[in-house]
Amino acid sequence: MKIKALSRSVEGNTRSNSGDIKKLSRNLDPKHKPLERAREYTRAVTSAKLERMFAKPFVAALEGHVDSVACSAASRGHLCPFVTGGVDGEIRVWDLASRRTVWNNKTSHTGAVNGVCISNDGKSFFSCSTDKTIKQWGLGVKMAGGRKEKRKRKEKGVLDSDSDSDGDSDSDSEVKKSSTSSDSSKNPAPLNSWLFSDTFKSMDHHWNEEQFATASDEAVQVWSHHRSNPIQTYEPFNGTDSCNVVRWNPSERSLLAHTSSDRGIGLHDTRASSSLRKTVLRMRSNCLEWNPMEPMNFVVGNEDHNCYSFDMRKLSQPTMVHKGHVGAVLSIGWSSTGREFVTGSYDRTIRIFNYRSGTSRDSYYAKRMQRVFCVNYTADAKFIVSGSDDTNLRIWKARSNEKLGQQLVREERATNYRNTLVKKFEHMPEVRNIVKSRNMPKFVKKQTAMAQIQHASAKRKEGNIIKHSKKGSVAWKGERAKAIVKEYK
Amino acid sequence: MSSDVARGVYSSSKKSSKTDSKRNLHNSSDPVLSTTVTLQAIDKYAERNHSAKSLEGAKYKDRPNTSKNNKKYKDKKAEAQLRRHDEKRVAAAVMAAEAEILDTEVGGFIETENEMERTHKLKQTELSSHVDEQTSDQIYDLSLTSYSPYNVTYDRPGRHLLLTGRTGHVAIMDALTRTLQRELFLTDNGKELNDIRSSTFLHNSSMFALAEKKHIFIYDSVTGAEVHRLGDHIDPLAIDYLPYHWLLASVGRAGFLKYTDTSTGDKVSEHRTKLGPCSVMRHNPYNAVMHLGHGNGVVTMWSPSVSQPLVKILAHRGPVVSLANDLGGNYMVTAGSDMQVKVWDVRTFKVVHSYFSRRAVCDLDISQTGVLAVGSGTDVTFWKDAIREKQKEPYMKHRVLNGGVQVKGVRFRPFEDVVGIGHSKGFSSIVVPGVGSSNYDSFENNMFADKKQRQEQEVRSLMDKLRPEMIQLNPEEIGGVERDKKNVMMEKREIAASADQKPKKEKKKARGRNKISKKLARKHANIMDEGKKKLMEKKRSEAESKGRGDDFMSPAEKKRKKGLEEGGALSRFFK
Repeated sequence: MKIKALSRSVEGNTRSNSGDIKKLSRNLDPKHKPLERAREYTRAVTSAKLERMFAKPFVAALEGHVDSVACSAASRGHLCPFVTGGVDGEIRVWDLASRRTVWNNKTSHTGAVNGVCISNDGKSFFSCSTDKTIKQWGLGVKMAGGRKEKRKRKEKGVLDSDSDSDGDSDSDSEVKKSSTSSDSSKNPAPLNSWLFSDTFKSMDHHWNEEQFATASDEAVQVWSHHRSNPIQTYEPFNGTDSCNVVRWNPSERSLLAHTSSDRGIGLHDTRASSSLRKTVLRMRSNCLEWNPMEPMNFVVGNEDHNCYSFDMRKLSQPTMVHKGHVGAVLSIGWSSTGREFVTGSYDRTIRIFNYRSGTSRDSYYAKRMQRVFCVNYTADAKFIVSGSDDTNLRIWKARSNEKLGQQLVREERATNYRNTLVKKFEHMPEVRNIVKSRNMPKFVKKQTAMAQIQHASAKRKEGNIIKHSKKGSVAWKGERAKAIVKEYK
Repeated sequence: MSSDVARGVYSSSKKSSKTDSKRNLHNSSDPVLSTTVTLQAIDKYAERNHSAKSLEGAKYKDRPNTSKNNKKYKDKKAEAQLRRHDEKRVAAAVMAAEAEILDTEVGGFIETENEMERTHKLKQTELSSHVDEQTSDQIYDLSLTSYSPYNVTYDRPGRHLLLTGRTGHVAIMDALTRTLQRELFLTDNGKELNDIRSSTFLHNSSMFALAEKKHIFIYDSVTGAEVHRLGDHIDPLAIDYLPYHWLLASVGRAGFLKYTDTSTGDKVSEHRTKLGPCSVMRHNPYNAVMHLGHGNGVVTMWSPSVSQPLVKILAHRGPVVSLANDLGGNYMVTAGSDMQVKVWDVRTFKVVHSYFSRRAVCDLDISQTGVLAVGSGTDVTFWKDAIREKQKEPYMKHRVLNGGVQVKGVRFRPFEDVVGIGHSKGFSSIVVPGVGSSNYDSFENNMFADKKQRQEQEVRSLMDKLRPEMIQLNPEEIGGVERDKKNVMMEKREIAASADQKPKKEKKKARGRNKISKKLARKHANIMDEGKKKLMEKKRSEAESKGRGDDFMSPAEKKRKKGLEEGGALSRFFK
């Protein structure tokens, strides 16, 4: 007879000295892990609670501007430079890592700075204003801060931006001088300036070429770095009104999109002489941004509190209506992943939307934050920078519960596990209620409730009209189709 | 359920040759073999609540596309998500199956060399010469006569042993090293004998609960101090502990099933069984439902959140003596005083098969590998695969102290091939190869846990504490969608729709008008049929003959007659 019996010794199953790692045994048989699903669900609820407990999105408020921050621009190629323009004509360059102004000019423009953009080489930036001028400024700025910041910058792989370019060494040196003392009485001079007959509302730099586009009261202009007059001018379809925003397409070199005050969104091809097409919404669009990863898609922020995602090939209907704000949407910033965008609104909040979701993933507000005029993601998609009416720039975490800094491997694994669990049970009422709950300001809460009532009542009315009309004479109109008034081709 | 058959096939192939199963897993050149292994892995490791239907969508690389109804979903995004989820699930199941080759231990066994050899003829004395010293050390008897009979309880990792003598002796032993950790005499200084009916460890071996004469008491295993007295549990006869819910359950002479949360100390619920005193109680480890065996032969299953039994089975013709649940939660074995031992399928609540016992059974237990232990009289018999199919002879037999004792309790020691037997002369420990699970999980049941690990385990299990409402017959339903059948849904919808409408107001009617006979008469008053016409004619002719023909005239006829009678100028118009 052959006999074998289990025999476990203490020595064989425990470590021999305290320096060794603990001996572990695994048995993945589900029989030994009863009530697995209930335990997972319990963990998911705990994880959802932890997520809300650790949700502290606010990182810092940057002071400096003395009037509202009107516009901002982050570099497309580099992590560091961040430029803001104020309503009083002041321009500031920020080092977000050290949270300091590294360059400023209080008298850049005599009117409000309505648009700033950074050139592709990262050596200069442009600003346009209501004073009918465009100015180019050198960006040969050493990011201030101690040794720590420098090391940080090196780790992040930021290009050293203090190498002078050939032509404009004089002005660059002047910029540097001013950077050493940020409150110097002598303001730096622009590298170039353009004078025009019209006030400017917005500007954007070309993604590849040495060109930039501006939106002015009457038309959209395309400018070259090296020419004093616009190389092209476009008037929109039925163009009687002024243009608000202009944005270059990230991949199509000759494609421009703009919004105009006559509630329209238009597309231009710079190879052609007239505009391509235009669609008119119910209310005016205040901002427009292209999706950086799916460049056929763009989002507009509208005066009617909604954002609309469009596919540029089909302007007859938006692909998605993003709801949630209770004030006009004033600016949009895309995450570099192309999966999320952030919106700043007149209702003093910023919201983060998934590009395929109709409702916001998260919403931030601060007690002292006023109307938000500009929002941007940082290039690493980890932070959001917002500029508002209260003259401050604010840095927020893109994921409110994320831990800043480097995580231990185990910590990261545990976080991933928790996130996966929450995702698995996100449709369960208990988990959903925890994950979605937000304490919003009283004003926003009231307005949201009111908007819901209004929406329900409008829907009921529409239903009643259909019910009491001749069969087939009135049809339901979808939420997306309602947004479009007219399309020109 | 086909999954169980597949599970059986899987484990047997694993036992026969490990290398074979390994080859099957990795060699995709043989699609049939690899597919069966994948399917078995899914059966064993994938979540149980997924029907075979949802598996059809899964496209695992080794899995041939056998789906018959390639259901196209309207929502493509959702379809893709479902598909991805299924793929992940299958891949995880296959990975878990593949990881089995990392298992360090192989389970115990007895192999006969010829057909004449019988495993149940093997005695412990012979067996001890075949096994290593450490295992043979586990064969021992403790002679404890003054407080007997003894009850046996092991903690979940199988490291500690709790011996409770009926009249007040309690001993906690390290079962591995066979050392006494603490000994208690709960006899009020020897003046009065205690009556310890039942015992259990709590969430770990640091505390244990005893069902004593009046109440349940909780003691600390290290110091032996009385930690708590549960005054709510009066005259308890049986207690059991649900480790994942931190619930201590008791049932007593009054027939009340009571649950107490041991982390907060709150009483969770109290159910009246209405079936009299009850001393048989074990929980199903798969779904934490409490099974109670009653004096009238009924087995009831309880959840703390439902005041009625979830299930009621008439199991025996006579009191239920003992019951046991298997680890997978699919089978329950009951023993009654009608000399029957019955194996039940808990999914269908039907008897799979039943055994007849010559002597009254006193206790049952099922090991992790599914070996059934039956204690009756002086013997304990072990039945291998007795649950799946009816066996003709036992796997092993043991006569305690060569007879002369009465067996009280039998318990398998988890993760070891050891069985503890409590009886009227103390305690015996014997070795039965192949009853323990060969591999333990350090994160679930760590018998070698040090202080730090134990502390961490305690905190984690508290954080993962399940709510009492989560106890239900199918634990996989938690976190899912509750879906009614179509007709039930329709009914519910109709009820909801009618709830919105205002109820019709009844008309006010005069008294007595609503009698059925009167209603009918009213209904039929103005109906002219053949019989009625004839009757009318007859009445008319009778009346005319009596000179009261006017009564049956229509108003027009009356008018005409009147005109004719009156005469005058207008009489010419009346013809």
